[in-house]
Amino acid sequence: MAIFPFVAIVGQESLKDALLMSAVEPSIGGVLALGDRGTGKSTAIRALAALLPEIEVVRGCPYRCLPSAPAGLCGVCDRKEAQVSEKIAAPVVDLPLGATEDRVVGALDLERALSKGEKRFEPGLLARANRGFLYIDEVNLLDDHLVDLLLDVAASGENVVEREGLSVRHPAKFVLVGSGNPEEGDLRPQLLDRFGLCVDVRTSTDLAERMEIVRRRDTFEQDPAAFIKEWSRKTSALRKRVVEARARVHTVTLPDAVLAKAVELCLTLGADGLRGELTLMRAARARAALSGEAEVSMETLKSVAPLALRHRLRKDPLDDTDAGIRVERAVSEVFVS
Amino acid sequence: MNPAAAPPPDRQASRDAFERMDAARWGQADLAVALLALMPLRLKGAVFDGAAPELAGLLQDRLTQRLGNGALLHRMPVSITDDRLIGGLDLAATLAAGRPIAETGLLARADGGVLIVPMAERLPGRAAAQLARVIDTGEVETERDGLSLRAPANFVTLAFADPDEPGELLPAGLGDRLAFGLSLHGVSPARTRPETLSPAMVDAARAKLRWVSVPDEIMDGLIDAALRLGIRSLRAPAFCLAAARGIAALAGRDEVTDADASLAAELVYASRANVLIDRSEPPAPPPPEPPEPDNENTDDASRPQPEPDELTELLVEAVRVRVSLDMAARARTTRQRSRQEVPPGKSGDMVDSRRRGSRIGARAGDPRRDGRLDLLSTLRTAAPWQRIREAPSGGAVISVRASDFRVKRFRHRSEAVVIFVVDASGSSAMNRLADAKGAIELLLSGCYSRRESVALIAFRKEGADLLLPPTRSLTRVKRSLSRLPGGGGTPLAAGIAAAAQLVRIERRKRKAPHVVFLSDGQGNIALDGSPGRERAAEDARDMARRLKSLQEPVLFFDISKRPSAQAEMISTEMGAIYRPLPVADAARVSRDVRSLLLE
Repeated sequence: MAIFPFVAIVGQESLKDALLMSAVEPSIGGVLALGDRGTGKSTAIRALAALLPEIEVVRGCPYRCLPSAPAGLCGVCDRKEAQVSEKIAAPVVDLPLGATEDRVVGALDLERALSKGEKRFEPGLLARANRGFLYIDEVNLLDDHLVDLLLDVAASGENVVEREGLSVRHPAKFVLVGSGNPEEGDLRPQLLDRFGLCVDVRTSTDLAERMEIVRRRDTFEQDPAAFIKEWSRKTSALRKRVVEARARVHTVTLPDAVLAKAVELCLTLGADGLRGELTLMRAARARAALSGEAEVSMETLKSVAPLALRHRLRKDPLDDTDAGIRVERAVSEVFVS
Repeated sequence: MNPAAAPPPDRQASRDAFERMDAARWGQADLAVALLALMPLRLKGAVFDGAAPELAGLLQDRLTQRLGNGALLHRMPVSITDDRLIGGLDLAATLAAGRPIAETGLLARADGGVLIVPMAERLPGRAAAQLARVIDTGEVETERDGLSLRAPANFVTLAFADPDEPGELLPAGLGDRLAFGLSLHGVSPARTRPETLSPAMVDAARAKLRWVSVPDEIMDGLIDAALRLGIRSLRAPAFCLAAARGIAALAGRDEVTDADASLAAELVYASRANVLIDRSEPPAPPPPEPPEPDNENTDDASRPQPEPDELTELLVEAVRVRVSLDMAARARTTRQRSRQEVPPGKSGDMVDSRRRGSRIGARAGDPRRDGRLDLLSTLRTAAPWQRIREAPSGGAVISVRASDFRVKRFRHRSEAVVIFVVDASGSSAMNRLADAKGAIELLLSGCYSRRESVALIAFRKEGADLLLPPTRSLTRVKRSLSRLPGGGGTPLAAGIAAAAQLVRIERRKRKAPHVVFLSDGQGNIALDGSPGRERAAEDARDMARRLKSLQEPVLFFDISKRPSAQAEMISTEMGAIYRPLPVADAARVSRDVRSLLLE
């Protein structure tokens, strides 16, 4: 099935920003997209796959190892002299609902064990997602223990398997992206703040924008190949921007004044723990890198604050105010002084 | 009360009108099925509400005939398990062959055919979400039991629903992904006319389809109308646009007309419309006026082309009329049905074994004592030892010892649903509702690892309303309880009856319902809506006994200033735990619900 181009998506700026920032700086810690149905959450995330730059891997390696730094877990990476490197599309693994734990983390290869009596590890989806994205649609419907496990691996970048007499440890560095509709069940608060960025996805009620969305969708459905071609120049331009931002992100500086504001903002909001501050700074750096800036400005910090902090506020069941608005309020408070 | 009796002559006219209407509604359902056959990949499917079994069968048959290519029907039972739905390990074949053998799931088998979902309103959220995803991607991905498979799965989905309560017919966004939603309540199979859209006509339209154009103002009108009907999802206008094209192609036109658009809007928007009364909404700025198209080929070329705004109004009005007609038809049929209601405790209500729930893993154990054998885990455990164990006798492929046995672990998920039934009558209504609202929010925000859902029924004036269908989303609670109605008489009996009905519905979904009343036990409106204390009290007692017969836990908060004998009596009749609550206290309600009912 043809994939709708990322650059042709109308609106949904926060979601697109959050995904691009994560593509530039995976250590931001993933993206959670919550919101109405039919807003194109899945479309945006699946479109990302076609946008991301290719990655270089050892051919045949199930963990998609970087040729210069193989993990040496499989027969392919072990034989250094026999290594062939190739470029493949960055993995965006769509975690199917109903996936069993053995396929997620990997397990004993049953066929080999039964037919040859060989004890071999069969890598799972976490291995496949290494160096890419792992997407869970309807994350609020996934079993809690599986979400827990995924967040653990995403945070450590490593999958440790101890089962069926196997003991395997392999790299699993990926950006976890979850989406869901909070009206169909809230996500447990403990899980909520373990995602780096949180986007509130709303359907646009702007008529002109809606018309543009439906028109583009309609043109796409009529002839997907032609539509994708029409947008291919913009796609490559954005891809180039991501590649450049990746090269630059670690040189982006964070002035002390900006850092002080970031800390103050977190204090004002009571966004508990270090995680909020770290995410805020990483996201600001990625955003700056994407727009070609050498240092993080106050404006950049302000613009990423709602994404990085909205899901870290202390819950007050009696305060109905939207979390995004609370963050914006705090931003204007902190930046006035 | 005898339905067989001839209607009085003055009713004859309205009956004729109903018949004509029903014939028209059937015509639309038939058209929807023709459109699905015409563009299955774009329109995805339809939901039919209240269709008689014969009609459902007829729609299915016509769809497969029009699709051609030997398209097959595949039924998706609501109780379907993950492995049957998306595929998994074929245990029998795996054991026979001694190596893993995959079994194709229902969704992959349905590729190129039709998926039928009967009783769709009972489809669990998880199965619905899986189906929704496959509808989106046209592909089934199976990552289960050591297998990793991908298979194409493009099919048309026909869902049939007949919920006891009006509301959403399909869970978890599934309805949003199917183009059409049509009500067939009360349409009798006798009223179906012979087929007017033959498979050959559909084929002819298919050839024409890609040349059909949509005038700009019609496209804009359809998108604008969706917004004015309170439809937020953008899938709806996209479906509507495609359907309008299909309707034009079926009529042999190469441009979509206003009438095509209006028909498409009825088919797609009626089931999705949210705003029905509120017309005061300021109209969005009109789009820039496009040049008048020359419509020499259209049927209504003689008619002046309405302005874009006019067209939008026309579309919105058409949908509103359709919605109100559907609601009237639904009311008519549910009245008929309630006369012949089955007494409580009918077999369909039996709660399934609570052993089901979702599988969360395996552990060592004896399958004879500890439950169901997890064959796969057992084989996994046995596999590494095969080399050192003796070859099994009797031709078996592998050797399994008792110590290898693994049994399935289930999460006991008879998820609790707390149903609040609140007296919203008279002057104290606001207080009481605020209490219930506060308690609901406290319950939901307090549950971290727990996953209870809550529902709210309020009774006032002449009857009881389900203000909040079961949900565990705090977001949804806040949205739907922000404006609570109140006032009028006290139809206690209707409140209890509504609670009993919801209890039965939830039990069928394998949930564990708990009921919480906030009332003073003094009804003054009888079950049929007529005033009068005596009848009201009698009805309330009857309903209370009925609720008791369902044998689910009930908690009764007596909200009178002083504990009253009346309240205690009705509480006893329903087998409830009785608690006086002379002053409003949401925290206490929530605490008592937790300690007395849930723990």
